[in-house]
Amino acid sequence: MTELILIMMLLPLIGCFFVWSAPENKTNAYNVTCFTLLTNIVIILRLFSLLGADTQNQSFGLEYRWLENLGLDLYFSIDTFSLLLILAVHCALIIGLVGLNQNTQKNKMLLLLLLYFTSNITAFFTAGDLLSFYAFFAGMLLPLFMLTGAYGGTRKIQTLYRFFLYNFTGILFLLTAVAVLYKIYQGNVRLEEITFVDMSTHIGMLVWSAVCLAFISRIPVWPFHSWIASVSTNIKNPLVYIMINLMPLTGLYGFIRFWPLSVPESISPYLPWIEVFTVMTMLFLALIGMIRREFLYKLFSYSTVYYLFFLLAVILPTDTLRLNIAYSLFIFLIVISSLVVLDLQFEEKCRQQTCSYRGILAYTPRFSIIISFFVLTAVGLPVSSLFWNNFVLISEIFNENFAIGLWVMIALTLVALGLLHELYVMRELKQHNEKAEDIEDISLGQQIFWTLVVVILGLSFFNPLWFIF
Amino acid sequence: MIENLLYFSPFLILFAGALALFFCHWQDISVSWSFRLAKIFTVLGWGTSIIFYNRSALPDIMNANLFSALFSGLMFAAICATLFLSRKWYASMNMSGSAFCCGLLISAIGGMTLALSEHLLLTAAGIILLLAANYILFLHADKKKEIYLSYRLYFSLAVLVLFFLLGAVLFLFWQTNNLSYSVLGEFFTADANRISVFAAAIVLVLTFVFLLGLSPLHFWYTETAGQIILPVFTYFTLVPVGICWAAFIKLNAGVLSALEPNLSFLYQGLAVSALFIGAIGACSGKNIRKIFAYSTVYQQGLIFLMLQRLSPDALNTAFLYLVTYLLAMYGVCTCLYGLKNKGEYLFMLSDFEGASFRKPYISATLTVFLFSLIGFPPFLGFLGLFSVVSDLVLHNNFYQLFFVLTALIILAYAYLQIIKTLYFEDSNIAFDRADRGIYTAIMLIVLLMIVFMLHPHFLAQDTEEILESILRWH
Amino acid sequence: MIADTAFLLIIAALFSGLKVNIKTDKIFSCLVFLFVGCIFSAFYQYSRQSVSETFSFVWNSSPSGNITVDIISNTYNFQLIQPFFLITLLSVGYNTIFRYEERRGVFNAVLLFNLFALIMMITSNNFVQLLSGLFAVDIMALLMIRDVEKSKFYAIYNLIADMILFTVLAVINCQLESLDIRQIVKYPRIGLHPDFAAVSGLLAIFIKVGIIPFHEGIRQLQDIRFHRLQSLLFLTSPAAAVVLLLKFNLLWEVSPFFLPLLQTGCFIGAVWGGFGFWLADNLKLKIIYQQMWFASLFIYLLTEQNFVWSAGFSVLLVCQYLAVSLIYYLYYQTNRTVSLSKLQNRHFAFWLPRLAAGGLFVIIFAFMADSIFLLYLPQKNIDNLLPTTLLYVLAAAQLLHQLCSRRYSPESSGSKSPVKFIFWLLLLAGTAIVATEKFYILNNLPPEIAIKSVYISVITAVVFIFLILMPVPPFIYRIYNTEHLQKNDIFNRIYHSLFIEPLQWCGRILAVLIDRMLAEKMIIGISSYCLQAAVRFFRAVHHNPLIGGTCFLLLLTLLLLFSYAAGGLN
Repeated sequence: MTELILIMMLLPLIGCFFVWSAPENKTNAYNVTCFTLLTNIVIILRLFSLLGADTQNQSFGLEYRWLENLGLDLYFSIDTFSLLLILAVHCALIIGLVGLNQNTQKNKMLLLLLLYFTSNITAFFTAGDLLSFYAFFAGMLLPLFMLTGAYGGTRKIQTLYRFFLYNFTGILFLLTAVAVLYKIYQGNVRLEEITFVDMSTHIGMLVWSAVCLAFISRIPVWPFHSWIASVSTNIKNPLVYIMINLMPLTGLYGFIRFWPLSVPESISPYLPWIEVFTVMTMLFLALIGMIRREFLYKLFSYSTVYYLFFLLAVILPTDTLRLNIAYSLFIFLIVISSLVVLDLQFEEKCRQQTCSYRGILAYTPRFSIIISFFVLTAVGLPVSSLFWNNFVLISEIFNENFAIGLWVMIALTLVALGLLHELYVMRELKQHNEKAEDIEDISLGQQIFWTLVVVILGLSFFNPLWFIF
Repeated sequence: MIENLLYFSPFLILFAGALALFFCHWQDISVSWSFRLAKIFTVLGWGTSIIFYNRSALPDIMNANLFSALFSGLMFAAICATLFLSRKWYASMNMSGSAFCCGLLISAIGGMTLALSEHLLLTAAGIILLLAANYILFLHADKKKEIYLSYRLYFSLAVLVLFFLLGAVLFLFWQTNNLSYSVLGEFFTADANRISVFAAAIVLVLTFVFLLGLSPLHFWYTETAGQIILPVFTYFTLVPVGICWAAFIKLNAGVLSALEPNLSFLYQGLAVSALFIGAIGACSGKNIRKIFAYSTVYQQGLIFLMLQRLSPDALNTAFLYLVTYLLAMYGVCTCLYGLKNKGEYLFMLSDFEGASFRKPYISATLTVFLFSLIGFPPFLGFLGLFSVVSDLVLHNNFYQLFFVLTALIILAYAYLQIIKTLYFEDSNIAFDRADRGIYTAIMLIVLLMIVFMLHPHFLAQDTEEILESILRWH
Repeated sequence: MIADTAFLLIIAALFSGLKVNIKTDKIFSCLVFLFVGCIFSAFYQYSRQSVSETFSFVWNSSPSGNITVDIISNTYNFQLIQPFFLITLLSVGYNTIFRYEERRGVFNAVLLFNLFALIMMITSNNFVQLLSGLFAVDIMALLMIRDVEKSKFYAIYNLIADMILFTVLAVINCQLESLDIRQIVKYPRIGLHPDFAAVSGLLAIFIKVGIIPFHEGIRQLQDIRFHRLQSLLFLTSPAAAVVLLLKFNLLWEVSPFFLPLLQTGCFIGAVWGGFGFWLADNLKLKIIYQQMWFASLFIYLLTEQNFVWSAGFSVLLVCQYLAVSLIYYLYYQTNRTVSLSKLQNRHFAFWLPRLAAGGLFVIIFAFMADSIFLLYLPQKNIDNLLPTTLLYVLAAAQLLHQLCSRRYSPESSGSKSPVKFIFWLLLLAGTAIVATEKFYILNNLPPEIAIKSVYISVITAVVFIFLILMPVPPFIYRIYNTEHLQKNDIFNRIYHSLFIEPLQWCGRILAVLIDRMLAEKMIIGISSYCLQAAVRFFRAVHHNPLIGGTCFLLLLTLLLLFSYAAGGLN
């Protein structure tokens, strides 16, 4: 199993090499990328079957003695939770690849950075110790930074600076926390042992504040949300959009790994403030999402609100919800990636035809069915495991704090309404432009692909781990 | 006698080389011969210094040990690397470069002197040689008006510093009649509170501050970096750095250890000012070399911060950071050598607009080196930054940590400007074809960085004892 | 047994949804109708037996326990499912007969899936199954509507209702720590926020039923096809709302606000529905208001019967459906003329079928009156219902008068509508089933009550016939022609002013205040400004060597002084 973990982390890097050596202006690089990601998915499924479906325990992992005299041993391991997230990321990236147009498919730099990012994020999810966790937490910024600059649209410079400022500051916070923990523990700490590290009140306050700020800078809690808002509104490449919107996932994962079951006394007075700010952000993003007309902004608003919802679930004083969160995140990532790809594909087509996308679904029946399904899944209808797992999570939030739960439901309802409203805007005949009649529907190949995705979502409704044999 | 000659051979070889190159300069020999000669003498000098790493011709005033060998080795490696790159520059400019090589060899002599010195007078001699080498290189640089003025400024500052240094040496000689480090160390221990003694110590410290180009004595370096020729810029950035730090550590460990309570605050203040001046200065520049010059001020400031306290951990951290800095900056300089337009080496930031489209590999590696300098994982610079942060946290220096990280964010902004210019600006500049050697050098550095990253014990573990030995020795 | 029925319905639905050409579509639809008819027949027979069995399988697990899919077959569930099953069957039949449905098969499939979803809701023992069924019903409703523009408000209202129910069930689940609906009896002892659960639940019920002021979603459907509208009003969200009431009444009754609010809402709904039914010009809108009145009355009667379903409710529901079917037929007979004001001077052929329809309506109406009487019997005070019931009677009579009493004219154009014998067959079959049920009910009653009930039926029929024969007063037609009354969307404007616009303003203010001013201008602006100021100062210092030198010299001097002092203190 250890070899498989290593292969899973390194395979995208090997793919990088092949992409780099592929000829320019051809689709070889694209094919290599797809092949690499699919192979990695096969490996992940194999790891799932080795791990078994019922265990939440970490498996034995991969250890590497990096710097003995400083006590820096690196440790990588997997459990069902992290594997699910890795699989979800891979699926989301494949969906993003499908969404690329023919010209972009030949862009080697994009594919190189994608594979590098995949390798980084896989290693991040398998990191079992503090140092490797930090290294990959920071390391994944590089490809995203370059992609933000390349595809950031007309306001890419401002977007770039915001992206860098917030995320780099977050990294430095985490670095401080890592260094302090390293000092107290006198060596590299395993992630599961962090909560047992004995800290004084002031040091504990410093460490946990730094950890919180580091992860919150990724999850867009106000006032750390403006970078992702800026990025999400300016980027029109679906793959890059998906990659950047995976950043909050890393912050969430950080909370899951770091956050103790019982909140340390040093920061327990401040925990309600985190919840308050989270809920405030959810509400105000949901409201802004309602007034903005672009579907992409509504998707951004939806994804952000859901990330914050998962954050509230993560910081609940229970660890029985971990798998529920994982299942929800798995479906959520696939749904949001699909919606982004579909939306951007058709926005691109509308731009070429110089028409608005309003009423477009009237002329594209296949696209209409697919996008309607995804919107209904996103809204929370019971067609995937997202519905059921969200029910469990929201129940626990209500159990913890009724008022918070209520505001969360209001925010979720608002984003759902926004999405639904936008779907109707796309379907209403009276809104359409004559030129929309010339827009081509999705091809048969794409329809088969999306049907496959729909089947995966549907099967997850019955058993989230149906793919384990 | 023969033994002493042999132990003195590195100096002799380097001196002979300098003489030969001085002669070549008058005869206007071709660039390939100049550099060939310089490399031969450098390698010979390095080789003999390794062979006789623990042998000294004058053991009372010169102490050869692993510590001096390590830093001498760094210096020689930097000189070889500089020679490798500079040759291409001189070849493209059709200049012989023998003056430059001569200056390098003189600085090597000065550096070796500093590395081995256990006597203040010898240290002063080494410093004079270094200053002289720097002056020669300034003289040799392009005859633009700004340079002309700047090297005059350098000359005046150097003379001033030398004046104070000699004054301090004289004062100490007058007080102790013996300028060996051990005697001086005892003297400073006994009379630590006297103002005159403190002043003398300050002069010694500030001399090194000047040599390293740290703030507030950074003008000569940062203001000229933008205009001097690329080889000289490379030299100032890479060559004297290691050896100056070695000499500084020796001085602090051997002579000024008693004044640590006084000097610690001064070091912290100087380091913090260097951090901010370096970071803000990098943001204010439109000249890429100036940006890197200020960045160097920041990096040196960070090393200085580590050395506020001479403990084994601090020494290890400082050395690690120094090596990562040297590797990354060498990479940066190599990339600068690879980017030229119509035979002209570029220095304004705007000249690099859209370089990634024409020179993707060089731009990519430059970006990698920049991220390494910021301390991004998984690049080597991350190891250095992590060591620095751990060290500061270990000693509860949280305020200093705050300054370091704040300045780092500001510096990162400056690097961002460069990356943005390389990748995200449109341009029609056509870059000349880069020499194959540039790509070879880049690959080598990247390979080294990968090796050190995967096996950092070469830097952090294997050199631990060598570094600690200087503390034990004194 | 119910499980078998459910699975057979799925098979029928899948079979029905197969893509066929237009010619075979009708044959397929007939086959489906016959197949479903057989299933219903078997179901009806089994419902007479007192058999109790459960079909169950484990679907998933959770911190609160295993989630099972349960299909419980008992007398109560049989009784509850029966009317919906019959209505679905009749809908499939109408779909087969009437020629203005292009893809009959798809619509049949939707009806059958909807019924399956309702069965899931009715037989469920856990929240997850109940919610899944509820959401499935909503999706089927949207598919039934088909018209995108009309379904928008309906979808939005139902989404809000579903989210409210989701919230309520989540609150209950967290208190009970169980997904089992049967555990809600423990809620009064351990549960917090009973008022919230009750009031929110009630809000959701009102939205789903379409009671004022939440009727806008259904009101917007006045332009969809009649039989789609009819199926929607009986089989989708209103039906789901009734099921929810029956499942959760024990929980919600804990709150002292529940019953008063429910009864008040029903009363207002009945009043508004009654007036709307009486005064609306558009026939489909009339049906919608009629249904509003009926639903309000129905729920009111449920409260009076302590939310225990009985055969009387089944009869009432089916009677109402048959009544609406007759109106549908009459609408079809009048060449699908929607506006009653336009009918005023029009003449049609084939007056006999209209007369027969009117007559059958009277019979069904009598059954309804009788059922209402029996359901309301335990109560002595009938003041709450009487005014609205009278209003309904008057409105229904006037409607029938308008539809049935058109003069015969052989030259009348475009009015050749066939008799549709099969429709009559279905209708009469349905009426026969209702009559059979009524007979069973009356048989089980004490003789004096049974006789009283028959008298009520007869008297109601007579009064109704009398009212039908009376001419429609002219002021009714004036009201029909008053456009601002007919097209009033006062509630739409209220919602817009009270909710949508404030939300939009909130969003705009937040976007400007929090997003731009606080986040962008303060954080990013301040950091950018600080850096620019530092750079400017730096440049100023370095530009002039004298100033720069002096500054740095001062800095150095300060450092030296402090370090000397620090050493002294140490």
